[in-house]
Amino acid sequence: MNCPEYETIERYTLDRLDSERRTEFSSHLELCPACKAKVAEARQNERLLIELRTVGKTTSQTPDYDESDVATIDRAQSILGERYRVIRKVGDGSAGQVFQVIDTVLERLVAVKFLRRKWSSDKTTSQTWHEARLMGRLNHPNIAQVYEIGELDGQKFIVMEWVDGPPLTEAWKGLQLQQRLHLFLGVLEAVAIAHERGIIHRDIKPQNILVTSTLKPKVLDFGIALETQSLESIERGLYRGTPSYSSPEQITTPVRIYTSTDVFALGVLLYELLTDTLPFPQTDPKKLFEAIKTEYPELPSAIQEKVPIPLQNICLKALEKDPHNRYANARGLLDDINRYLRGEKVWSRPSFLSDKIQQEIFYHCQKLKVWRDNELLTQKEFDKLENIYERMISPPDPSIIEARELSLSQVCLYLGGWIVVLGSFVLFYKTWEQIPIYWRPTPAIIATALMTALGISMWRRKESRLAVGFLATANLLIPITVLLTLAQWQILSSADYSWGTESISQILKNVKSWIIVGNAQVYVSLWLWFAFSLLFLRVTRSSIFMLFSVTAFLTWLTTCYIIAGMIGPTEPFNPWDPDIIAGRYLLPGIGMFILGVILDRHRYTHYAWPLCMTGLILIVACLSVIAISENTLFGWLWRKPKFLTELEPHLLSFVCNGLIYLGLAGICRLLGTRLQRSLSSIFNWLGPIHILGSLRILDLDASSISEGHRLVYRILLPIASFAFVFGSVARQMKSFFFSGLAGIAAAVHKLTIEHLDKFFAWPVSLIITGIIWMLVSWLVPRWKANLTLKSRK
Amino acid sequence: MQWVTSTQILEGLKTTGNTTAWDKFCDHFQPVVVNFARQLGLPEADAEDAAQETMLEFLKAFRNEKYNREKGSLGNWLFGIARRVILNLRGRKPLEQLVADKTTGTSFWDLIQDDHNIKHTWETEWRQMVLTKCVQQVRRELDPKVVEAFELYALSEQPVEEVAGRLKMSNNAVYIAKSRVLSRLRELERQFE
Repeated sequence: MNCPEYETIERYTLDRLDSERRTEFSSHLELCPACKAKVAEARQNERLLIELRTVGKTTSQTPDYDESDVATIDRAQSILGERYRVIRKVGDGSAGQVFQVIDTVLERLVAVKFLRRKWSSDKTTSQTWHEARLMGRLNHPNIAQVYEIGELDGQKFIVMEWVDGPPLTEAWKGLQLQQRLHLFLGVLEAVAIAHERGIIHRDIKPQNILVTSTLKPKVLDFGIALETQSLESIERGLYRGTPSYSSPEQITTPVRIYTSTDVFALGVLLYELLTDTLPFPQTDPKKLFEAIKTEYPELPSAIQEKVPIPLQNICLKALEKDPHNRYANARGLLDDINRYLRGEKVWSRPSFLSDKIQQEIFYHCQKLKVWRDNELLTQKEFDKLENIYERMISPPDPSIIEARELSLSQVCLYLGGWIVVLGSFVLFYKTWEQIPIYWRPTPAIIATALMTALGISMWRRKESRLAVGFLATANLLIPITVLLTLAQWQILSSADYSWGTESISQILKNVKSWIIVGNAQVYVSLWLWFAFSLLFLRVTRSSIFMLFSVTAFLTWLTTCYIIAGMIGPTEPFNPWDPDIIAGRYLLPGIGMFILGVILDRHRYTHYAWPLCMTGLILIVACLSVIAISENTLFGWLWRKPKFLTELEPHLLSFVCNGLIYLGLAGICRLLGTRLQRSLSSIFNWLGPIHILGSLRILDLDASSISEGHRLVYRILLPIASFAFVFGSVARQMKSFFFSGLAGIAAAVHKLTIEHLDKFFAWPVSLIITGIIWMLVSWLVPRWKANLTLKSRK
Repeated sequence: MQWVTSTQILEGLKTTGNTTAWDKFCDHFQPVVVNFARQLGLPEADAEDAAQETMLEFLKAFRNEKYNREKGSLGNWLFGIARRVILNLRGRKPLEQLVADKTTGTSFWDLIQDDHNIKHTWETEWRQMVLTKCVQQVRRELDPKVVEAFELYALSEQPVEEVAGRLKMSNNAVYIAKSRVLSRLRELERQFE
């Protein structure tokens, strides 16, 4: 492309090129320094031009008066009466006029705003009038106060505090970022307080925020800013001024105003604070409206290098198109900026950025799938990438990430919580005879109530990081406090919900000076624990409460077993026996695992993984215990073949366990979700390690059996190892391969120390065998290739 | 009148008895002070007095080599003097006379306590003077047709086709005229300061 005519440069600068030519010219600009310089010059020229226009217009503008309106100082004086002396007219808009007036009684300057009659009758104005009344009650150092509202001969007027000084954007010229933020925070504080009282400003702009000589920002016209521009005038292109601070919902029919409407305007101010430019710099009103409705502002950091990214994110979030994606009110914005100033992490992300990222990633994932299908990527690599991308698209709640982060403050919080829990637990150690009965559990009750209340209030104030800490502590305190209270106040002590022989109190009698609790009391406290864990889980969606619910459930199960006498110190057989306990927990383990799988299938992965992991741990622990126990679970499954009768009874159990793990690995892989695939790889490692490990252990342990049979183990280990090594080829099982290699090493070690330690030929033969294997692996494929070639010929 | 920069004017003031330099100085800067004083609420006659006094004070300070360009711009230096002079003058007037002056409709009641605002008023006046001088110079320098094209298209915001048709030039020429005038104005503005 040759350099275009000057017209193109002009149109480009004024943003009047159609998008096609714009992109074409933009790419030309990248290459042509001459045109780039011209554009830069045109931009600077444009700035001067704006100034020239305003210089010219200050003298030429004459507002059109309605005959009946207060147009002159004399008329204003006659309405206001003796008390006020009108000095001059300071403002004249389509909504009304503002006069500077001396209040002779209180000897102070005030501003008086007269509303135009045509506005006075309007419905919006009656709303405005109502808000002005509310404003009269609102007292804040950063808000220009409304002293009085009045009406004479149908002419409404508002008497306000007189504020003078440059507008905010003028005042912060030359100030540092921190100082600018300080001013801005004053504004936010004022708007936040008004929002809390249900007052919306509607017209936040620098002209409405003046900075006094003591560097105090004052927000003017609060709640009495009128809709000076009607939509009709916008459509007819008659919109006056530059409505750069209007939000999308203000310029779309039907107009809807929320507190987040003010947040948008504040976002524009913040953008100016950071970059000294407007987010939507278009000067032509029609284009500006279009931009406000549809376009995304340039990133502040692209304009000013030093813009802190958290502030950029805060600013962009305030500038969201959809009011519901913005901060709900000025308080939210204020809190986030304060968080930034305190050096805490700010989690706000503008949604349009994540939309953009989401789109890009979606396309990329499609590509990745194609690559995987064409075997350019392995399934594992694909999973890893998809995992990372998924986390980028839908990161867990920021609060969760924050709560998981072990920052100093977070560690202190959790430590404090833990100490509170321990403190409450210590109350169990004694009956505390010297304290009146009603006071005994009180410290724990107070602590629980306090933690719960703090947790809930923090959650409401969106301080999720602290909320999770307090709620987790409360959750741990609940069973302790409930049990303690029931026991000390002797509630439910007569009821005994036992169906077996055993009672908790009988067991506890063995522990000296421990408070005696009944079965029913334990049940109730555990049920409450479980219920509250689920409740907190539902509210906070933090997976720690899933773990708490699982723990509560398992504790309850254990209690049931003990009470039923299925485990515990009862005669004649000893139910503390590990294999009995393992037998009791195997089914719950499987149950949890299946529940986890079901949840995962329904896309509740967040809740599924604690269940699956707990289930997995229970299954593995139980199966391992069962395998080494006397009464092997699988002994009765089939009659042992005759040649195996002499062998250790555990061998079959171990092999069976290994096969079960491998089977589970296969099932998990078939289920296909990412969580299942990662569980599958865990089982894939467990299978061979379990089998080979058991062969090795049994060989060492099987001292009771005859030498001939011991040889079986010695042979079985290398055979199984080789089988795993070669078995890895089929499905690229690294777990098989490496455990096979380890098994071979163990077998070599065994052979060396027990049989072949005196033969020098042994290591030599090993080396030679190794070399032969390597040569074979090198030569056989070539030989095979030659063979096929020959056969083709 | 010939184009001079503030540096040239100040150079001229160094020699005593250089009346042309003094005239130029007053021509440039006195109106700024008059307008400023008026903006702050002084009646017309007082504003003129204040401006005259400011000019003389500046000359005295300049001759005594108290003014140093390194320390601040000419505008700022003049602002300092003008502000002091006007405040003094105000101190001598009865308050009521200042406040109730309805003919001008202005008062510096509000402004006088607020340095920010005073400075802002001054800067607006100063800037207006600089821009006016530059525009005058551009008119002298450039082809009247170019200046007219600029005024119609850029200042009065008339459609480019209309302007081009009226002045019998191409659209592109109108755009170039705008660019030329503005670029020259910026150049002059830099020179003047």
